[in-house]
Amino acid sequence: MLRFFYHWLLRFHPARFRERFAEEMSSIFDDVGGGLAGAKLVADAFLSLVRQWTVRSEYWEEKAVLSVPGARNSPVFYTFENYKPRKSALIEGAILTWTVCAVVFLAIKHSKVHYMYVPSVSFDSVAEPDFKLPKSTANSSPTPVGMLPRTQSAIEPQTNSSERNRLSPERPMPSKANSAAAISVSREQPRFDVKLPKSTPSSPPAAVRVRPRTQSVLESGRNSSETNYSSSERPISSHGHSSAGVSESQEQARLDASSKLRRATTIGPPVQSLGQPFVPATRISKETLLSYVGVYLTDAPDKLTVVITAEDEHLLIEIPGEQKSMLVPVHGAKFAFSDAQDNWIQFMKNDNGAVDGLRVHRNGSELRGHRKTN
Amino acid sequence: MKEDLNLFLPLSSAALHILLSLASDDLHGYAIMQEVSRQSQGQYKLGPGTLYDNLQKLIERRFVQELGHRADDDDPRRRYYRLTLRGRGVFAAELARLEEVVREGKLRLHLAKPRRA
Repeated sequence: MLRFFYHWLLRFHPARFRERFAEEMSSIFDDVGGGLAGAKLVADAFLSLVRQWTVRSEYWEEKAVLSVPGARNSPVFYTFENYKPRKSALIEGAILTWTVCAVVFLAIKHSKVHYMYVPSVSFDSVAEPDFKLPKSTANSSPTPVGMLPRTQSAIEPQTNSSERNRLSPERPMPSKANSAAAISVSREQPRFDVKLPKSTPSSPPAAVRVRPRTQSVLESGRNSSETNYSSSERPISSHGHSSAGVSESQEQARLDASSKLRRATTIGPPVQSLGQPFVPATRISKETLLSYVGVYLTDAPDKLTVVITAEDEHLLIEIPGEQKSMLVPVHGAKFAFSDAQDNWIQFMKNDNGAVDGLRVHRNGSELRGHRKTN
Repeated sequence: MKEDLNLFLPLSSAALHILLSLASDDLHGYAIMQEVSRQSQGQYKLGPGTLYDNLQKLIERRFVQELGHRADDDDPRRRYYRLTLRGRGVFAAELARLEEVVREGKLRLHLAKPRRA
């Protein structure tokens, strides 16, 4: 048994050492015999095996130059045609590969860092800038004079039928809402599409593309010279108004309104990622939230009773026949449905600033209602 | 040009004993092991692994020459080894170094001889 084990250890020595000395070592084992002396030789062979593979790497391969007579001053070439790896080498390689793979897989399995790809979700939302135009400007035309022509730079024809329906002239918005912009964030390309509603049935719908934070196509009157208009993208004067026909105060008001609109469209709506809790982008005070709480009755023919409640600093909306939905503040008095970002609600205020009505925009249709009770 | 053999000094204990064993006669591996044990009165014993590891180095440095099998030996697996001239020179250099060490050691031991109280 010891002899077999001894020869087994000799077989795992480097080839050069084994071919040169294995027979002699085997002969010595036979001379010494078994018993304690044989066990000592086995231990010696084990130490020799470790030594040869760890600190004797320079003797692993035969020096071919020395074995070729007269080859000291001439180059020596090798051919691998008849070369076949030893079976033991293949077995050792397989064991080594399996060990390394096992160690790597174990390390990966027990590592604490795991990367996971979380795709982002984009949504379209209609944003309305929080500003009011002076009455003189707003009343002078359904379209804010000077602003619409300037925001119609880089105009693209509106081809989306759903957008067309949402902003159709059959449901005209109040003059304040004429400056509302539908902002959508594209997932593939980091850009904002600002779609301007029709101001009047005669004026065509338009879309303005705004590059976030880097370039605003919405030009104010101060730097209009920097805008390159093509012949088809030239600003369109609405209802024949020209800047020459507008007073200086009105022009200043338009410039202020335009800059506010540009800020509102450049920032854009928040983009939430899947797997993350929805965090409202806007914080509203509790007093303001409570001012919206109440029961609202929509106009004919639906005459739905819409109940707005507050809970944990959030507004909840309850429509008959539907589940309660949480409202997420978007801008000003405007809130989006948390479960459907495309649906939104806006509270209306009277001249005293009190909330007296609402508009509910759902699935492309709009409901209007007035406040019934607090 | 004469080679400076001092570059190979000092030799390891195993190499020194192997060279000492081969200094008088050509021996095979098992005979070298027995000779080393006899020289050291059994205090230093070489295993086959250590023996052939050192023989490999000594052969590479051309201090020892492999002679192969002898016809008069009954075991055909045994190979005999001989000390070369180069190996003999290294062995002599190592002995001179050791003599110097012994002389220096004796001198210091004599100087540092403790006085009797």
